[in-house]
Amino acid sequence: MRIFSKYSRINKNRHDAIPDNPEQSISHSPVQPSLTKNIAILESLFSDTSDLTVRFLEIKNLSRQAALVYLEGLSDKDMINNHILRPLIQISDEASAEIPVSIGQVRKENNWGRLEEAILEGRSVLLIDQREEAYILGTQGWPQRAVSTPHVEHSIKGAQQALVETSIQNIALIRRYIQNRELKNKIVQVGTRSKTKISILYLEDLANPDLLETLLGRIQKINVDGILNSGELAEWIEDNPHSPFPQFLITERPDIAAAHILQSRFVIVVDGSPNVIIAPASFTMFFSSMDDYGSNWVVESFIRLQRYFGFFIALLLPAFYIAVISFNYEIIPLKLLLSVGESRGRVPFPSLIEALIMEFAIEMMREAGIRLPSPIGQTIGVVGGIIIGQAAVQAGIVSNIMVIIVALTAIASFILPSYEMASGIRLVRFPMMLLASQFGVFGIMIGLLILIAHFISLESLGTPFGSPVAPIHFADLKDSFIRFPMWKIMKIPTNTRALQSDRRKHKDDTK
Amino acid sequence: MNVTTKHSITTLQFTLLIHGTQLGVGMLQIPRILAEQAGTDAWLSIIMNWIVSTAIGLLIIQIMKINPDRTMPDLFKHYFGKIFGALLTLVFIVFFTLTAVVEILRGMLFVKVWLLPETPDYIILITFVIPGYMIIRKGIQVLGRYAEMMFFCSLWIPILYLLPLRDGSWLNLLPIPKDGFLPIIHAAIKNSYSFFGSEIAFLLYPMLIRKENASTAMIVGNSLTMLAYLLATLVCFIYFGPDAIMKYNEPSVSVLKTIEFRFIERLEILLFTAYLFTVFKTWMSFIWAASYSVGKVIGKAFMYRFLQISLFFVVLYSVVYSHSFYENDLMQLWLGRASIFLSYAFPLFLYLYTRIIIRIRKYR
Repeated sequence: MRIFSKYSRINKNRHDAIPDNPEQSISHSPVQPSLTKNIAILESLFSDTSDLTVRFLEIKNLSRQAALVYLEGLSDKDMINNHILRPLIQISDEASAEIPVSIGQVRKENNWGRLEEAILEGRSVLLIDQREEAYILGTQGWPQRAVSTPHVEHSIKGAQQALVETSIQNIALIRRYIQNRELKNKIVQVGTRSKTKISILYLEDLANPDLLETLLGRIQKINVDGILNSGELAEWIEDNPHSPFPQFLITERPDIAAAHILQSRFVIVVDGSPNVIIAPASFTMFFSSMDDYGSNWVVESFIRLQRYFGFFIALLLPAFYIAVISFNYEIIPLKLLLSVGESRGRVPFPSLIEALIMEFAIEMMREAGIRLPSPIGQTIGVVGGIIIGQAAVQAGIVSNIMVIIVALTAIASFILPSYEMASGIRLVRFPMMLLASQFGVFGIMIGLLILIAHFISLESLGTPFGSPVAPIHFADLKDSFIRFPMWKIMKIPTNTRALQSDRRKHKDDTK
Repeated sequence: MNVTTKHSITTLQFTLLIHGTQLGVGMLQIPRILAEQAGTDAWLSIIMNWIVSTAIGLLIIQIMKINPDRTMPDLFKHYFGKIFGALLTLVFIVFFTLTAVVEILRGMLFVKVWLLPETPDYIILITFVIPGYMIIRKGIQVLGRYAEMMFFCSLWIPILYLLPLRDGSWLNLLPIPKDGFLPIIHAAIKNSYSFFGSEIAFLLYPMLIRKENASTAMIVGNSLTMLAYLLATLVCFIYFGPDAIMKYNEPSVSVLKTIEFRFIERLEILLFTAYLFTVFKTWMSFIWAASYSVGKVIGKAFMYRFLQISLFFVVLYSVVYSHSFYENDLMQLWLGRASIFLSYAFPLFLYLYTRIIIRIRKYR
């Protein structure tokens, strides 16, 4: 009776002007022995929730009244109808089983808070009259996308499965590649409202426990209403959020995630996001793709070198052009200088303005290409390529050479496998151009120096981001600028601080 | 396990930090300065300097072996008492700071001569100080990474120096010696400052992870410096000959002027720009050494304060006063004289002193 009066007081409070955070106290109340009381609690918790379904029934085996509660749309209706409701209503032969449902996950619970959580997760809750415990049945099944091919990180020879929005499926996709019981999966909940499940996948006999602790600590410290995206989480837990470089690798490919787990890194799966975060990252990781391991090492090494070359072109080419045109014209040979001068003869602007016009034009085109619906997207190519490129030159706004340079820069920035890294570089290009216009080649050198100063002091999860270049680890260089043959790369990268350095060994061997 | 703490450096970093501290702006002028003293025999004096500098460096390692965990201020305090120790540390702090200042100003002057004749001094210095501060602030580990990275990134420069040899005459080096050994020794003494920097081992040794490699690292670091100087000097001597070399202020840069590719003229501008990365290593190491010592003596918070103030004053100095090569040469001359005492004589004295103290303790 005491509980009841307490409860009615709370109920009254809900309609008062100042609610005393009533959900909080109901949430901690235990499951009542009476079905009607439980239903009343339920209704107060989920008022105005039209997608909440409550099905009253009589369990024949127990001959008791019961209610099955679930959120429509978040749960699998087939499963509820065929494997829960039918066996409950019908008389079952298996008298031994307490509730004769034929599904995998069944759990008893006596706290309303947990029940509420379970319902919101898409589980069904079976409340039975005269019982102080309810059953939580694993019936999750929400609308989800089928596993499809990767959209951003294409690969020619690699697997064609991309991650989806459900973390359980993502974990399964990754686990398919590593069938080892050392693959552990720690779950943290983040977000006061969204209650996003964040799972950290790692190999227990390999990954450094200190790093795991750091990672967990950082995730647990996050105080926010909701995390909807893995990029959002990455920003919360990055070592230096002000850096233009991403400090964690974000991928949509389960095979890349698995490859990095094997190298003793941590993979963070955010429920609801089709991307996973890989930590700790090093600079060279952003230049490798799954295809690098798919064919001959000589060819793939060449492609990798090309990416680094592309990195420098994307970063420095417009700046170098500006420096040469407006400052250090003595560097380039006379004949080239003459043809550049001829092409620039009609252009009234200084080279910085010319470069900025074209760079902004192409940046806007790129962004427009992403936002536009795909049928119209192609027009951007026509507009950009023909109209802006050719017409701008004819009108004398920019020079031919500038168009070539901007096009080269754009292509170079797109050959990087990591979208985040490419965006970072595209941004850093602009200060470089400014410095070049002020100090010429010296300005580029100063810009590079500032970039290097930032780069060598950057950390990812407390490990050096510049590894294996700064600090140098010769063994790790085998899989950086060029890729050595697979059998030569048997060491786990040093910056992951793995518990063992040979990737072939695992715990069972030592026993 | 490869777990490294914030204040520890690897053997490679130790080696390259010593090498990086020694090899700086001096490189650009060393062929001319040597040739003025001893003609084309002067490359021998580099080898003499190298032998002396390595020997002193090894003595420093020997001193530090007895006191593996004491950095310079603690060491001085231990051996000379509180007041004298602090005074001695102060002398070294001033020495390090002045060296860094001379080096940074000299770098600025070279940039002015070769790249930006119209730009005001203080703007060049500001562009020097910003990245420098970003690196030094993060401590020795990041400085070590910088030394490592820049060493490997500038390995292409020596290859370029081999190109002028096509047009040079090896006979310029003969006969050896032309005027006896005395001018060579003179040149070695005058040029001794180009090798100072190994005394930074006083500060670096306690941070070295594998202390057993310290002696090897010291020898390798000194040898790298020697090879760099020797290459530049020999190439300049062979290319220019004994007379023409005097006409160039920075023969190490000018020697590359004749290299010309189809796609690039005036290679020396690019080379000079790339060499600035190496110049930065030197003054950063010295100012780090100074600020670290200050931090050790007064307190860690003062380390950054000292760094900020000293860098700020360098910039301020160039705002109110126009620094010239002549003044810089003069400062360098005095520092060179001081360095004979501080970098060469003092470690020798300290080594003997520690030996005597050990003997005395044994007798007791």
